[in-house]
Amino acid sequence: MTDAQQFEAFMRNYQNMVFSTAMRLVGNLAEAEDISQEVFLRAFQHFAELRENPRAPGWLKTVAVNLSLNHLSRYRSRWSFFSDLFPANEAGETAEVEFAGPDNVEEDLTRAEQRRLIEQGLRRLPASQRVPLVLFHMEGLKYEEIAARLGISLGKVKTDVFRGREALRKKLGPVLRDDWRPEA
Amino acid sequence: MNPDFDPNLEAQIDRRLKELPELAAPRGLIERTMKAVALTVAARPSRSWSSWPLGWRLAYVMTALCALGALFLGWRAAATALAATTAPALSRWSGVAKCVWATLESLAAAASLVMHHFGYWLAVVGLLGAVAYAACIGFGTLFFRYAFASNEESHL
Repeated sequence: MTDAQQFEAFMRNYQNMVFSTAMRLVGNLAEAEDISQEVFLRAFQHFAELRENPRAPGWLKTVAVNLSLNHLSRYRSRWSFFSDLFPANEAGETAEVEFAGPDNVEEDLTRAEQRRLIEQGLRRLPASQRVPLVLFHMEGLKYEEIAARLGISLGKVKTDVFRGREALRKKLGPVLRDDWRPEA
Repeated sequence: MNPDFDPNLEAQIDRRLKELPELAAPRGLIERTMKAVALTVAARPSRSWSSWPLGWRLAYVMTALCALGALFLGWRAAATALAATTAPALSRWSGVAKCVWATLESLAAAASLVMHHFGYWLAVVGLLGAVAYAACIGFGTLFFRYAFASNEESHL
């Protein structure tokens, strides 16, 4: 197997993880794809070390988060402007994103629908709420770390995460409950 | 503590978000990235030094040392040949340099004479002028950078 083939197999293993991380942070399909490509280009430069390294997924995730946050901070003036104007209609939100195939073909349709709605609700949050919320709940960062990464105060991070949760509850309501069923 | 904080909501959202499955990457991502990788490889045919096999590294070091040795010996030979042919031109240039040096010496002597005549206060006034000039330039640069930096770093 050549280097290129090995790298392609490596990408195939981790592309969903990298893309999900970028997509949930930047909330835009095309930008998330660009970031994912950049992550793998960097991975290729270090492929000799990453190839059989058990820390490769963590490395990829960290680079994906860093590049997404860099991207957001680079375009933050435009980003905050649009998110203030259209908080419920993020750029790229129209493009529907697919979930990775279920592990089990008997995946409960109700659960799948619930997840789809939650994912959609998350993407519809303004970036100023979505980014800290994703970093806190999905990437496992502490409030202090988020504040340092985003260059904002600890109080603002806590407020944004709190508002993000409240906004999700308002948007999704009963969808968040365990016993939720789609209306017929 | 925020009075509206609801630990149940936090736990519920935490659970829901953590159980979200990975999103499927766009179908063209691998193909697109592999093309970019091919371009990178074409633009940078060599691999990093740390990833070279040991034999290659040793061969490279030997070649580099030989090249350096050849360069050094070549330079010595070239310098000898050059000295023989350029000596007259060098002596002409050294005459010009001597002339410039003599002028600078005269100017320094004149400045020393002025200092001796007007004394301590001239030095103080000169020093203050230089400090004020440097302060103007320094603060101007600082304020300019600060103004533009704070403009760029608008809050999240």
